[in-house]
Amino acid sequence: MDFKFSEEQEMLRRAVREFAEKEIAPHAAEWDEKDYCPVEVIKEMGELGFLGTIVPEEYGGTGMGYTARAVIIEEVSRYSAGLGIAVMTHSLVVAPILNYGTEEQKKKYLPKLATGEYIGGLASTEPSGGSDLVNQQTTAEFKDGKWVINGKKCFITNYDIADVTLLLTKTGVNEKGRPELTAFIVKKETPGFGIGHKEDKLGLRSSSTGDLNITDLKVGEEAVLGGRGEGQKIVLATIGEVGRSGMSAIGLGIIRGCLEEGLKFAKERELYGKPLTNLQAIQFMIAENRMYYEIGKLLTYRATTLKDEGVRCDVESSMAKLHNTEAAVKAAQRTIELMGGYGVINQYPVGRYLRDAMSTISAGGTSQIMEIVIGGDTIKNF
Amino acid sequence: MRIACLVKPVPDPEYYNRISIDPVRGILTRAGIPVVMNPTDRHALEEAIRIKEKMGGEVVIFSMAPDDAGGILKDGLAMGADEAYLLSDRAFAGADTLATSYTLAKAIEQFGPFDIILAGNESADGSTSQVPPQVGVWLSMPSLAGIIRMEYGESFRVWCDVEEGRVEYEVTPPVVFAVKRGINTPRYIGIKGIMAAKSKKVSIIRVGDISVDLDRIGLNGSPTRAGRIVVPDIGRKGETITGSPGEIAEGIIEGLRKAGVIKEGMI
Amino acid sequence: MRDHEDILVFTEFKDGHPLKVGLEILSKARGLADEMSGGLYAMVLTDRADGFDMLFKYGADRVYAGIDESFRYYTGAYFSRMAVSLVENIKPYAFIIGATAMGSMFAPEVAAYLKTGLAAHVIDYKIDHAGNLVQVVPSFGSRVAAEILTPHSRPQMSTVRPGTFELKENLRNGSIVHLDTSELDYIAPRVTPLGFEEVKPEGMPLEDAEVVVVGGGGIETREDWENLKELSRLLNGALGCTRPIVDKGWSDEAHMVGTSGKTIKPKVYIGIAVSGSSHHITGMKDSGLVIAINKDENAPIFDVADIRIVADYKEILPALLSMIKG
Repeated sequence: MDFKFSEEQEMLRRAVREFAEKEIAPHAAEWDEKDYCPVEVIKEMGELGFLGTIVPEEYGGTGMGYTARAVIIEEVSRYSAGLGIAVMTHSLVVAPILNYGTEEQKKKYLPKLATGEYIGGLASTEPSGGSDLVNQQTTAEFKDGKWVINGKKCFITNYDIADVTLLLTKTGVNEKGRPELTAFIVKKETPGFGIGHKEDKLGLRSSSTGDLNITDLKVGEEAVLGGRGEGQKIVLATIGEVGRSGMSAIGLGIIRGCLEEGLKFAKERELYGKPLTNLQAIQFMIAENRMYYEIGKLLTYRATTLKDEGVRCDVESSMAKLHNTEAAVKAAQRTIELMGGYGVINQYPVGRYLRDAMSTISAGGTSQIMEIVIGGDTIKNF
Repeated sequence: MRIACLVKPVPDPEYYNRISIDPVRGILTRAGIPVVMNPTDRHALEEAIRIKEKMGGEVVIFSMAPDDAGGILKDGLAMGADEAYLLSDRAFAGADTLATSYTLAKAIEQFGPFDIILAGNESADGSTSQVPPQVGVWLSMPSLAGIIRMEYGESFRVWCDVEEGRVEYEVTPPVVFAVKRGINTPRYIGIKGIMAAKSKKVSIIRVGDISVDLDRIGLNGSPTRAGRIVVPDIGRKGETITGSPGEIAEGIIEGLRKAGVIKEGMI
Repeated sequence: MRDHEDILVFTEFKDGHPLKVGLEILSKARGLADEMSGGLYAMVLTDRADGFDMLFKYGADRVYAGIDESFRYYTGAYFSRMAVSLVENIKPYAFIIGATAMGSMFAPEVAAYLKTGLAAHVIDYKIDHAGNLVQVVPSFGSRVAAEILTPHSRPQMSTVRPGTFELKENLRNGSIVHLDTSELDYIAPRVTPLGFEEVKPEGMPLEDAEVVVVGGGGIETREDWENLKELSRLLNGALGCTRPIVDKGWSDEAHMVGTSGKTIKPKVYIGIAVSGSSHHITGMKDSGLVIAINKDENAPIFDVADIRIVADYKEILPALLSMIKG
């Protein structure tokens, strides 16, 4: 076993941390308050190569992989989990194009996605819910040599800022009588791509989430990703391994934020003439947060290391996602307790961390879905 | 154009309020304070890289620090420098600015020649601004400090910040330049730089690797000696004013009045 | 130790006038010279043959003056050569130089030529029992003060930042010794000064103001910054800042208070959203009345404040402005 990050991964962490401290930390509270997704910061991250780690060099990325991606998401989420999910979501179109795209599609989209010239999104959830993926109401019909798509997507992160969206649709019924799902790569400016209502979220407010109203949107055969009927497999694999490991990195960033903010407060704040850190009850809380962080780190980076090695990691990603998002809520709660009255004052960021943490739980599958994946695998394979 | 850039790892200035002193032994505790590249040196490195990008050549980092400073130099390589030399040896320890500048100058001489030596105007920990001009003396190169602007072509034009203005100089290399932070905005390190740094080398230089006069390095070569270290008591027993914004404003004005800075008719 | 030890002070001139820092150093060094039963000498390199009276007024026994057109601006090769020659000739016990922009280039160069020690930004001098000059310097901002000794080489060199010592008159009936500048003809510097461009700092100079309002990293908007400007104007004061404001581009280093900026001692200092890094505190700790407004009650600025206001400046500033405006 090797628990060390490589020198490049450590350098990357320092580089992103510095970027985050200067370009994200000072504005994170304001973005949250104004419910603003800082596209310009995402673009800047793209220029620095932070959006292209999973893209190989031949397609304009750096090929540093999924562990590098998680390091970036963790460092961004340390200060702004909202921006973290916007960055995380970007790869939900990058990964499927890389894994299932034709050479032409890869050449067309990946270089621009890797550098942030294009921002990406994934639209699969519908008003009926995200977990019932198969029951898609959005349809694509093949007419006069074009696919005509109609339907409504909701809770779509990056819905308004994404230049390229992977759109999941139903294209019929297969021979077994099951819905046949197909994914399309759709550009924002395509007629019929309607940007709908924006959700006012509890947390993760530095990302924009909302509806897409798709009306008679026409695309050619070249927009189909991975072939007709491959949509379900593509989207599930993407959410399962890329989305969940990304969500776990967001949770990890929030936990570290709680750990660091709580520690800073406890060291500086004096009670009975001594720093709070002298009190055992406070030490317990700090120890608890530290444990959440260390466990979360091991789970997250094990999943991403497996992914980088090309090993299946959906169960590992689910465990990391389940643990980190739930632990982030607990860590935020514990930190608010540690800070006493200050914990609930919005001048301190921990209240925001709690809202962000609670909002991570449903994204990419609820905790119960994670348990079904983990439980199912355990019963079958353990 | 070969450019040497001096880089110093320093305890992160953001944490200086946490530096404490052991009253018994008179030793500073820096525990838990991360070491970073001296902020002003990043601007020097940025300028060095810009000169290279415009005029061609290479940028070589020189730093005198313990072995564990290698990571910071690696970051410098990721920014765009080509090579780094880390001068690390027990024999160099205890050096003041004169011995430090001598040691750096000897290494620069060994791996030179260089047309330009760039450095930050001051370090965050010592803030003496002494090393760059002294490196110049050892290498018989003229030096300028407090540089806020630079133009380069066949000769260099630089503008030094002085009291109430700037003095413009024309300079013919080889020369030592110490720059201020206002000269540029250093780039962030991107992944391309990190990947490129993989194949660049940080060479550790021990005392035997350069030809130095042992009486000029380390503590032996340092004319200054550190005496006691004291924590000056600059604390004040202040009063806290509370109340509504209006009441607080009144309290402030009351204070200004007592200090005699509010003249009749001002309010 | 010799029976008498002399102190040499480099007093920088501009347009025929000594800079104040040189006079401040003379004021302080006069006492040291008396303690050593030695002379206090001023070294001047200038392009005009006037302004020397002031040096005698603040305690100089003798002025060594080099007068030459090439001393109008600093050229290291010329200045260092002159200083090294003089020092080798008169062998002073200590050589003190103002830490101006010019002095910060000149002092290290001279020290390296003389292979002697140089203490930077001395805040106090003492003479120890062995007869060495104890030079107290700040380190890590003003977090700690360290004593620097130069026990085995002479002169003991040091620099002093403007504003560190009080001016004290002590009129001497001194003499002027002219320095020979002829050897400069044999030097061909590769650094040529082309001219001076005045940059007038906006508003009242920080060093001259009775009231200094300082805005720190907690100032959120440009508009708030403009309000601080208004406040400083209404109080007939100056507006200073800390590093983050320079980084935001709202002000410049000429207005920055602290280690790499100005040292100020106004009657009243008002710090608004200043956290109080040790680098900043170095530059303001000797102010008269210190008023600090910060919403973080743990901000270090409160440790050096006489009036502490734990509040959001956004609430206090409008109330204060409207009250002053009446």
